Amino acid sequence: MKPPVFDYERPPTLRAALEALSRHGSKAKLLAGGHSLIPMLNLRLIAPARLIDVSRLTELRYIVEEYGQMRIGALTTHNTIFRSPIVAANNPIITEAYAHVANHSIRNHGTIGGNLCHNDPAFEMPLIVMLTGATMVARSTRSTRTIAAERFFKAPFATDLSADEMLTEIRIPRLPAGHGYAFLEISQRYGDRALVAAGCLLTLRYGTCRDVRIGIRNAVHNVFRLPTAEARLEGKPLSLAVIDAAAEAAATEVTPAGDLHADEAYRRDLAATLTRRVLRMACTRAGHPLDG
Amino acid sequence: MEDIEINVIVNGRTFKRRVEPRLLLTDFIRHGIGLTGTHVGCENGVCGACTVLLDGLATRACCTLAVQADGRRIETVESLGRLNNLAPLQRAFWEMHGLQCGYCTPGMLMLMTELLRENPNPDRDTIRARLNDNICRCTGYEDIVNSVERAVELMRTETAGR
Repeated sequence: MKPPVFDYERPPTLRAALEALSRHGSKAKLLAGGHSLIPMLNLRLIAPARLIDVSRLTELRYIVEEYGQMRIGALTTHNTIFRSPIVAANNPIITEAYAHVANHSIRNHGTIGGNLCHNDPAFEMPLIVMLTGATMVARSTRSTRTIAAERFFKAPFATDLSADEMLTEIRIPRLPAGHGYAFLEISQRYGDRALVAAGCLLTLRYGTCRDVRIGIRNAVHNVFRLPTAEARLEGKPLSLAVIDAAAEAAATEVTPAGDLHADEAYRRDLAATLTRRVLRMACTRAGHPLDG
Repeated sequence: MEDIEINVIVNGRTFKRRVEPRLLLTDFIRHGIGLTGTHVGCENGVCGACTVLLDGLATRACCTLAVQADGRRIETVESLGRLNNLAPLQRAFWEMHGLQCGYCTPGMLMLMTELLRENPNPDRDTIRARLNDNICRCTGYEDIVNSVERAVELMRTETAGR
């Protein structure tokens, strides 16, 4: 179908965009890459009165590394981040996850900020910012505030942003050298929406698991870490047995909904399998390969 | 709702038009300019039949508003070659049966045009990975991959011949 009628403006600066957003609030939608918004318009799922086109605000396209963190401008495109040597060197889990984000043509235009704000339950990046302990910067004409990732995602397709706020920056802490990481997802075809996705970060000190973070996407109601599964590993000497225990915990801890593509039991099974796989990969990358 | 004046450079020529903000780039190209090589498939970003190049980047024209193309450069399948003077990529699709019904072909050609510009010598896996973007319901993709490999050969010969 075709989009419903709306007004359109393209403010020349971030300040002008924030002013427009403050004027029109919940009646307006920000247009960034447009690759979720425009399909939703085409399908008539939403009918905003106005689109505020921020896609040319080059001031929000950057990747900077400083003071132990990466700062990524919200309008940086997926492919820019996917191909960034700074990102690959600092947080390789981001690069690994990006291989699963949509496809190349969509990554040409889709932005990290748009992806996070849309918060589709099958999207990878909300899980990534959760796992890495990222902070979101939200701006409006009245304030600038930072929001921890775990408070940013309120519900599927909903975030903590007010109607006049715009996500402008994502701050991702640098992970310790030698940390283990892995991201995997199962979809019906490569590039399709994730049936279930899993990511993990951990550090191994003298064979003991530290700072274990395990997260699952599209099999939990909202976001995404699995504290029970993490606790099976945290502070424990690494073994295949503790990895299996974490995978079992993951299967009971997730709260999947069944749908046309995968029923609840299958999603639980995928959560356990993917948890086991990401943990093994992460441990191998942290320098402790496991047999069996 | 107010029409907006835009200037879009399509295949090297500038078109000035007044458009509704909700006009999709696909419909602007097809109806506003009359270039019907760009096909409309799913209209929600899944199939890639509408792929054009926007400032050189492969783009789903159905997920892009015409107003977003203001001041920017569009390349459509009409920029590649003509019936009696096909571009190497088109010739390769012809030779290797890279199409059957042809509906996805303009999108495939533009997607691969971007790939071959950034990497004139892609291996088979690279071609297959990029073809992930677009759907073909006839060929089973094998002949499309073969066509792109053939295009690489043709382009190499052409460059060597110069």
